[in-house]
Amino acid sequence: MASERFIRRCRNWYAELLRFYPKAHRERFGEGMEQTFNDLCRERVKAERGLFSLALWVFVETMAAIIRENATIVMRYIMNRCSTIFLRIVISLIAIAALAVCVFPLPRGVAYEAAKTPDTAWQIYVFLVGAYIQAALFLFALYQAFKLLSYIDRNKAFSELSVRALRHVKHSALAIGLLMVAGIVWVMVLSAGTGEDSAGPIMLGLIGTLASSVVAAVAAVLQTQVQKAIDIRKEEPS
Amino acid sequence: MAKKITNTPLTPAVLHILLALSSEERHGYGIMKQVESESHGKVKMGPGTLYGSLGRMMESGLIRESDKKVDPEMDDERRVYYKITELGKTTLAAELERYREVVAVAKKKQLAPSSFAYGI
Repeated sequence: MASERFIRRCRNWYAELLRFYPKAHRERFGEGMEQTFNDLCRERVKAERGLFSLALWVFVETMAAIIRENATIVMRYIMNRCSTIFLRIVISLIAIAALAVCVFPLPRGVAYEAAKTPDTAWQIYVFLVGAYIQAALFLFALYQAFKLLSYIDRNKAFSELSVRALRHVKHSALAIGLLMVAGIVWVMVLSAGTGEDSAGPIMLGLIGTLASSVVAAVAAVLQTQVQKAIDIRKEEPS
Repeated sequence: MAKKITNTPLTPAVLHILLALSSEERHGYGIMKQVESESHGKVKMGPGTLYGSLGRMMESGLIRESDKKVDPEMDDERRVYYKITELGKTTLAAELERYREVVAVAKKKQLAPSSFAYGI
């Protein structure tokens, strides 16, 4: 009876896991998948074998399938021409916002800070330079993403051009991340011994580093996938 | 359409599911067990692969949902049964024909070395 209870608990966990499927898939197959999982567990118990390894295998297998299903949905969404227009607008808005920050608040804020501490003003100007380099890299990556969308629209998503665009995005994201790390180290060195609270800027830097590494990882995965698709096509000219 | 079917090799999962459903309609767990026994335990499909394939196969019209009913051999839960369609049957036949051709070629090639072997 104890195993019956364990199975029920596993089934509940499995149901939780299934929530990560795309909605259509979950509504259509969720119940069936739960039942199948239940049946597999019961079969294991009847054969008097351990449930744990089965549960682990099914969970891992289902997680992989969830990632695959969601990736398919995302790819379909991107392949849809309508949505590339939407993505173009989003990219353009982000670019305009970034430019606006660079032109107005950033220099003004830096000038204000520099005026407060004229002796160490050069340190703040170093930050300004770093921020502008990052902004340039960011805009460059956005431009590459824009180019990638236009390749998709022209049905050239799986071409060397896309691979190159993705590689550029990856490198810019990596460079931004490295600059963030350098910035964090710089802040830590400067604030060491002064007793100033630098947790805020460091936290911001860490978030930025995390975000840019995620972007770099996604770009790297897409790059290898596109490259793989191109290689397969080369092998089968049909 | 028919031409398109003969040109596309099926994935192993799809082929096995079609084979399992070719004799009778089955529910998810039933398909899994049938595939396992037909492949002598070599092909082990998890629910993720199984239902992912079922979804894609329904989209392309190879199978369809049959009734939702109780399996008398299991318990009193109602399960969705899946059934092969006509398109599914022709696709399976075309795929098996492809395999038959490949096996025929392989057999033909094996004849030559074995005849030499007899000579030694």
